[in-house]
This record gives sequence, structure tokens and C-alpha cells, in this order.
Amino acid sequence: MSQANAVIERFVATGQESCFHDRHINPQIVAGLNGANWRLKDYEARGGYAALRKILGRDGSAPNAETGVAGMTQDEVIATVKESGLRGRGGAGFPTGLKWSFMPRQFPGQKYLVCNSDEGEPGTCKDRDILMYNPHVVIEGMAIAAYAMGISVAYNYIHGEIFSAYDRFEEALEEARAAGFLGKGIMGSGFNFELHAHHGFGAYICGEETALLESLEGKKGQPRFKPPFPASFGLYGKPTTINNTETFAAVPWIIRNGGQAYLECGKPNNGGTKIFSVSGDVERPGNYEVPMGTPFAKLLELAGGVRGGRQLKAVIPGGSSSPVIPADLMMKLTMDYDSIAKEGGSMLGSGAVIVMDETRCMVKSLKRLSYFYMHESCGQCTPCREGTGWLWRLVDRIERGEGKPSDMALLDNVAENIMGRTICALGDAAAMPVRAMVKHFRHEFEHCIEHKQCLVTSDV
Amino acid sequence: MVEIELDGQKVEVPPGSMVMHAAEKAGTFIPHFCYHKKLSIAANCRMCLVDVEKAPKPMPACATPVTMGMVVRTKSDKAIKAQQSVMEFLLINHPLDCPICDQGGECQLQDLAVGYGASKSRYEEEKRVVFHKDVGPLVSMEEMSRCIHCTRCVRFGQEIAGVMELGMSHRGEHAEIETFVGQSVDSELSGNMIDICPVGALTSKPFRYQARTWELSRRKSVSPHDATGANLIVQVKNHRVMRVVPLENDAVNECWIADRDRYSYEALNGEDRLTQPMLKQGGEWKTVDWQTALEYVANGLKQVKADHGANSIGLLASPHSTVEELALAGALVRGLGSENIDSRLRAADFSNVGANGTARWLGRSLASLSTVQRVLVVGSNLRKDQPLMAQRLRQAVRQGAQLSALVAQPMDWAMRVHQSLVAPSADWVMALSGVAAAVAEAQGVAAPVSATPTETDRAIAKSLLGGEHKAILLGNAAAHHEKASSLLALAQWIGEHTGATVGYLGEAANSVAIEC
Repeated sequence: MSQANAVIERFVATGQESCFHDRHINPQIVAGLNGANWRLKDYEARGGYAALRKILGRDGSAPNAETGVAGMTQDEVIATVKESGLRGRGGAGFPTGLKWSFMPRQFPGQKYLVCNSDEGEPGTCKDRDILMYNPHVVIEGMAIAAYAMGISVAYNYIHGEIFSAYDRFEEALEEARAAGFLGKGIMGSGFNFELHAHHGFGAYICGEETALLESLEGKKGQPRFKPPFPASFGLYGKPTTINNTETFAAVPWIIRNGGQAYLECGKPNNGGTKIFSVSGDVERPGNYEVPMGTPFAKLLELAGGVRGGRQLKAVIPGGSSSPVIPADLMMKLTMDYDSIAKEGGSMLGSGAVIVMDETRCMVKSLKRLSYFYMHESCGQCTPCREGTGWLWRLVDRIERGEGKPSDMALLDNVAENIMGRTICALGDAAAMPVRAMVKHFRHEFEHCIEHKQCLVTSDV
Repeated sequence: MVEIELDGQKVEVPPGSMVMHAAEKAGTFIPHFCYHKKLSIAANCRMCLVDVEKAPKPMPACATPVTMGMVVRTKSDKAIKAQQSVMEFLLINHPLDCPICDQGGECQLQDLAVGYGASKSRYEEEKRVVFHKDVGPLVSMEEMSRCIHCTRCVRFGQEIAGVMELGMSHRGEHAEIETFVGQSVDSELSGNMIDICPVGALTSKPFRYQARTWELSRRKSVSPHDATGANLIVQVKNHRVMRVVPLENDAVNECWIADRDRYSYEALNGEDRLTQPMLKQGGEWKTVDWQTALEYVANGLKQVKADHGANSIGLLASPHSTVEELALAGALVRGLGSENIDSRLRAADFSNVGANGTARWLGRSLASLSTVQRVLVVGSNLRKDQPLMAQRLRQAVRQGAQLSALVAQPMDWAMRVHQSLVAPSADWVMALSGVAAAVAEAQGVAAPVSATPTETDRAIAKSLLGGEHKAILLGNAAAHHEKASSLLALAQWIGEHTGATVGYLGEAANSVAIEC
């Protein structure tokens, strides 16, 4: 723990690579965090668990005039989340309220809620900070979700490589149980909710929701084919809803302030704030919580601009699997699902913004990305198992100066052949960066093939 | 029924069917590797990708449920392109060693590569090499680089054999099929993995490098090893049996055979096999010709009849013999004037014979064992005695059937056993009386013999009183029991009062025929 504390102290001192700085814009989840105020009493002082009290009718407000019941009904909670425009923060951006409404609430057996904290996407480090420095917001968000969908048991699957975050979350769970926010008859209501933390083993694929379920069941983490979807056949074959950590963390604010208020902090169809993990060639890498629709230029400015005053070359806007966007296009975009997808041709993904300056060799960068996907492919289905290795070998050969002119077309075609033909999205995730790199920075690859060396040689 | 349009043809299939099932019904072949009609769906080979209207991506036919009015094209550009790209991926790391591969000529990958593969590979990088494994004397895993990771063998172990002996360990390119910490494959059904392996990764060790499939002529046969009568194809080259594989028959063995059915042919060519008649004279065996041997036996029998009377001649015939052999043996002994003929070589109690012209048999069709809901097995080493019947019961149990057992010692039947009564065989009558008493107690009738039921007896009775399709099966040990008739009588009483059929699992291929 002492080593972890030393790291935290450094984060606090510098405000870098963390969320303890004042350069957020209208923050909701990371507001007021300093690395030490994660405990239940601190969270309650920030207004924590008020949303849970509100839905359970334990906040002293008058009962509903028609029904005579205090608090919010399940439908009201789901309607509020729908109204907020909250979309899945794990990467896919699926509307959260809609996902919750898919849950068969009348299902007679056990139903499960799962929080996906298996944050493995290269560049992403937001869930780690939420779990470390504001764990109770996740617990409260999950309790609200469980209430809305009539679920009594939930799991938080935490990435295997973040040990202190797991320990921290367990501690927070103990606090919440002791305070009666978890367990049977929460705050004297009829609502029962048990939440358990589960520590994964660090495989990237276990962040895929069905692989996560397999892993949670104690099996090898391999994605299931869909259909059936988790809403009908999930954990242990029971209806299950899976959301990202940040999604749950956004819920208490929405309940406290209303769906409309949340929507208004973002832009239409892209409600609320989003934590962006800015990394790469910037002066102040770290987590930045800003409203959806904030211009990229503003985010870059918050992060201190490009390191050393260099020229921006390209940005990977949503974690390593999202297609790269060249600098001139990126500077025109705003940070929200629609702008990045429709105008940028990429994905907002998990919000991991990887900034690359003019000294970055795109061939070397792609080689590293491709190696990651080869290493993390689960090996279950053919195109991904065989294709990710082929992609890496091709890029590796080009980078070593042994490429052939025909490799360019081959590289793009192999990536194309993986896309859309695999069981889960890892195949697409491996193929998309390749296709985008080859599309936007073709000249660097061609230079490497022709001259046996990279166009950009001052890579640092 | 759900109607879909497949390549312009209307097909009706039951709800919940997959596109692959509709294609099977329509007689349309969709290329596939991991899909197998008797195994669960894995959808991992991606070879069966087809074009489904309104779906942006090609969909796997094996895992896409049919919906009313769905339009599927299996040969559109989109489908063919997807299938060709999957084939290319399968081939990049597959060794090009077909000329020395035992699977050559009967290899699904080889066949489909002709239709969907390119004539030249675009892959110029290093190929993957997978270390070979030694898993015992029957299944060869010498060339695991050929494996395409369809996981049919893994699913076979989990679902059909009931023991997960093979699994896919590691990840990505390093994924490989192996046993847990290098153990051997010991299942009594293990040879079937060879049949379902679509490539030459799992091959038959005894058959390795013995012959090519196209050199073999095929003869239909029936397994003599147990009462299942598994249908076989005996493959012959130059009048020598080279290999035995299953002949599919859904009413009997489906597409499986037990390892003893598959590998016992080796004894046909065994060096210690008796091929010439021999006479023992002066304490020594001497090889003679057939004429001499037959005359010697005939004279001996005549002499015995003359000296001691026809009644002093008896015949004990093995129920493993063929009907023809048994008929001729009976005619011989009856011709000599004796009626002393029997085939119950292991029986201790002979009063449980069927009425004249009937026989003790299974009491229901073999295929119906797969769909029973409640079973009580009495005195059987099920997996070893009748491996394919055990397989059928395993499928029933996987579908939710409750199987209870009365056995002499705890045994692993590789399926969930609902209730297990373990008692020394001398106490079996008492134990079964307990079950009968529990049934009587539950139904408020008089028990056939007075006994005090235990909790287990009551649980078995409760299980047998539930469900619809029920069977009480008496195993070999119950048939050979010194109080076999008492066991049968108790089983019949329980059967009558619970609506279960009662039958013997059958010891040998002709146990039933010889009795009739």
C-alpha cells in the first residue's frame, strides 16, 4: 500500500496522470476529489447516496399524491435515465435507459447486474480513478440500476491489473454494507441488494461483456456468440444487464438533478459529461471530465497542449481500437459520440484520447497496436485468431524494411477480411486501426517499404 | 413452423431452429467445420457465414435463429467472399502436408479448400508449429499443427462422453487442444473424437500410416460386444481388416461407437489368434487338418452317447455367437438326442426366464433411452457394460432426467446421478425392497415385502413417481445375481406402480435372440 500511496502523493502533487486538478469543465463524477476523500462520509458530504434515498422515498419528500407512495417507481427511474441521453461509457455508446428497459423485470428467477470495470483498452484509465477515488458513486449508481430493474444481486468485475482499485472497492463495499446502503431492506425499504467485487486476471478479452460473464462464472474468458443477448441469457444463464463503471457513476447525478439537466450539460443525443483519459504527446496527461460536445481543441488545451510545443499529427480518439484521425480533421471535431463517428469516421469509444505529435512514426505505432491485438485475441474464432497475427507480421515486416509494395493492399485486405466476421468486436478492434492508418498515413508505409526506413526517424 | 427463404427456396422449420437446420432440410450444403448436429453450437470456425437480408454483416448459419420471412442467401457474393476469407485464414497456419496426412482423402478442410481456397497462398510469414502430444494408445495427436480449433473434440468430451478430457488452453495464436496437465485420454468413447475431427489433428493410432481411405472397401457389420449392436463399417484392404468406423443409425448407435467396437479388429490380425484346428494328445497341442479334427470330435461325441447316454451330453453356447452359429449348435446337440442346451453362462438364478417364446429384453427401444425422464439402474457397471446406452442416458440426464442407481460400489458414470444406493450385492434384494416399500408408502398400497424405507429410498420413489417416460433397467450384475428373479420381481412391482418400463440392459449381442 505504501507504494500505491507514494504514487497517489505524486499524482496529488503534480495533478498529472490523474483527476486531481482543476482543469475539468463542470465535472460531476470527479468533482472535488483529491485522492484522500473517497470514504463514505466524504461521499455523503458531497451529496452522496441522496439519489438512492430519493428513489427509495427516504429523503423526507412528500409521497406521490396519486399513489401515496414516496420515492420513484422503477419506470420513473428508467424514464429519467432515458431522458438524460446517457449512453454507455464503455465504448459502444448504447443508450443506457434503453438497455435497462430491455431487462425482463417480471422474470421469475434470479436476475443479475454486472459492472464492467475490466478496463483494458490501451489508453483508458478513467474507471481506475473512479474506483480508487470515488468508489461509492459506483455503488450508489449500481444500487439505483438494480432498483430500477428489480435486481437483487450484482457483481463488479474489476480488471486484474489494478490491485489497489480492487482493494479500495472492497473497502468501500464494507463501508456501504455497514451503513445499510447494501444488504437486506435498504434504509428500511423493501429493496434488497447485494454487491460483490470480483477481481479478474487481466485479460483484455474479459472486458467484452459475454467473455466477462464467462470469466465471472469461473470459465475461460471467451466471448459467447450472440444471440442470445445477456438481457435474456446472461450470467449463469439468467437475465443480466452489464454497464460500464463510468455509466453507473453518472447515474446518481442524473437522479439528483433530473434527466433534462444531464442532457443539457451535453448536447442532444449525447447527454452529460464524459471523462477523457488524455495520454500521449501532451504536457499534462490525465483524466479530464468535460461536457459532451466540448471541442477537441479545448480538451487539448486543458491537457496543456502538444508536448514541447510540437505539431499535432494525429489523434486516436477513443482507445486503441478506434480509427486514427489526422490532426487537421481532429481539430474541427467536438468530443461526443456523433461528431467523432459521423464527421471523424472514428469512434468515441472509451474516451481514451491518444495524442500523437509530428515525431511519431505511424508504422511503429501501428506495429505496437497490432501486437497488442495479436497478444489479446482469445483464439476462439478463426478470423481473429489467425488474422491478428498476420496483421502484426505484415506491419512488423514493413517496419523492419522488408516490406513489398504489394503488402499495402494485402494489409488492408486482411484487415477487411477480419472485420464483421468474428464472434466479438475484438476482430474489428484489431482491423480498424490498421485500415485507418493505411488510409490516412499511407505515404509513411510506402516510404518504409521503398526506403527500408521510417519517414519519421526522430521518434522519442 | 417458421418459414424462411433460402436461396430462393421456401423452407419450413420449427421455431428455434438455426439457418443451418433449414439448409439441411432444404438439402443445401453450407460449408462448416465446428458445427456438428450432435454437439452444441460453438460458432467459432466462421466457415458457415451466410448472407442474411437486412443484416449488415454475414451471419453464421449454425448460430443464427430463423425468423419468419427471413431471406438467406448462401451463395451470394457477400456469403462466398466471407467463406473464402475464412478459408484463407484457416489455411495460413495449416501445414500443407496432405500427402502424408492420414486424413487425406476424407478431410473436410481438404474438400472445402478445393471449393473455397485459393490455389496460391498470400501468406509468406512463418507458420505456426504446435507441439505433439501423447494421450495414450488409441488417439494420435502427433500433428497438432493441423488443428483448426473447431473444439468439436472438446465439446464431444463435455457433452457426449461426459468427461472433459481435451480442452483448449492458452490464448490467441497460442491456443492449443490438449489434455489437462498431460493426462491421457481414457474415455470408453474416445475414438469418436477421431471421426468428428474435421482435419488430421486427431487420428487413429493403430491405423496410422496403414492405408489410404480410397484403398479401402467397405463392409457393413454389427458390433458383437454388447447388446447395443452398434452398426459398423468394416474397412478392408487385401482381405485384411484395416479399420472399423461407425455406420450412422439413429435408432441404435447414432454416429458413435465404443472404443472396443472400433479397435477390437486388431485382434483379427493378432499373432496369437488360433487359425488352425489343434488336438491335444499326450499333453501336447498338435496342429491337424479340419477333417481330422471334426472326425475326432464326432467320434468322441458318439462314444460318449454310446457309453453314457444322450442325456450326458450338454452344450454351453456363448451369447456372443451369431444366430446362425447358435442354431447350428442347437441342431447338433438335439440331433444327438440331448436337450441340455444353455447360454446363460454367468447366471446363478435361472428362474427369471421369460414366458415361452418371449425373452428378457430392454423393455423399450434403444433410442427412447435418450428421452426418458426417470431412470433406476440396478446392478450395472454402465459405462463399461453398455457404453452407448450410457451415452444415451447421459443425453437424457443433460436434458433434465433423474437417474438413480443401485450399485455395489460408488462408480463414476460421467453424468449426474440423482440418488445412489450403494450396497453389497448380497443386500440388493433388501435395498430394492426398501425402494418398493417407499413407493408403496407414497401410494398408500401394501408393499410387496415388508421393509422400512430409508430417506434415499423415499427420494428414489419420489423421483420415479414424477415425470412421464420412466425406465427401470437391470444391469449385467442384476442378471447374474444369485437372486436375479427376486430382483426382477421387485423391479416389476415398482415398474407397475410407477409406470416405468422394466428391462435388462442385455449382456451380449445375442442374449435376447438365443432365448426366444
